Amino acid sequence: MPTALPPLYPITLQHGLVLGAALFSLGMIGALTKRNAIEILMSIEVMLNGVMVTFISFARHAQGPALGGQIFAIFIMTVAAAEAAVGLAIVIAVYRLRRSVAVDTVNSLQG
Amino acid sequence: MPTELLVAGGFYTFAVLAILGSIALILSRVIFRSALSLTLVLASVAGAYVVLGADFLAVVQILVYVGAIMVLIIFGIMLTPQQVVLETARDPGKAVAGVAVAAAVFVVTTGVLLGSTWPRSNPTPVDMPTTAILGEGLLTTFGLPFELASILLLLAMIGAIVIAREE
Repeated sequence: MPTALPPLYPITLQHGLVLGAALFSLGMIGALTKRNAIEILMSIEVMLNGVMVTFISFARHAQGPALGGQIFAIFIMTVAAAEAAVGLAIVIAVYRLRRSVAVDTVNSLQG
Repeated sequence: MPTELLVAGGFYTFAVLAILGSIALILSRVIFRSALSLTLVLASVAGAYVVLGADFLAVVQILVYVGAIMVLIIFGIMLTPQQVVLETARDPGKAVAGVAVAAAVFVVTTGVLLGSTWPRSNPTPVDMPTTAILGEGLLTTFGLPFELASILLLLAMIGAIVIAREE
């Protein structure tokens, strides 16, 4: 059970973690409810940003000599860039084939 | 301490902007407006990185996300025309289910995060340049993942070209 809420000031670890969770959940709403594949990709970027905020909050909280949390965030950014490039290429290939980017029209594997 | 006050003010400003941008991204029916809301979210998150002590990552966020990925997404919107307005949900039940799942994830995550005690819970000094530390870490401790990341980017580049190429 959550005990007492942390004070609003100063900024501690929990504030960054809650911001990360809020961004992740809002991105998840978009990814689950949107139909346009590009909008789903954008929502996934918001989710990845929430995760990076979490990593950076932990890097600030437990500041080791190597700043591992921030290095993890760099790797997330790399994977996000690769994901955006390949994802948009797939969207464009699907559009060329189907003349549509609505994800529920791409159902030829559905049986 | 004035620095603490500055950090708190900056954090709340950027957090509110990022969350408002995310809500605008969800609610917008025009995809280009969603893309602009996403730009607001990404830039605000970069500001939050600054107050959380990640100065180098904030600049990288602006360069990679606001610069490169947003251009890519807007190109994607431009190359898939006649889909400017697309109704959000297939049927309202699925939209409600999606919102419920995301809300449940948020409630459970926040409950666990706020209920746990994290050792060393005092904020560290934020006025510290991180570029040198990050660079040293990437070339020593994290050398192998760094090289793998470059291979991943090369493969993604080749894959994107192959997939999106005209036959």
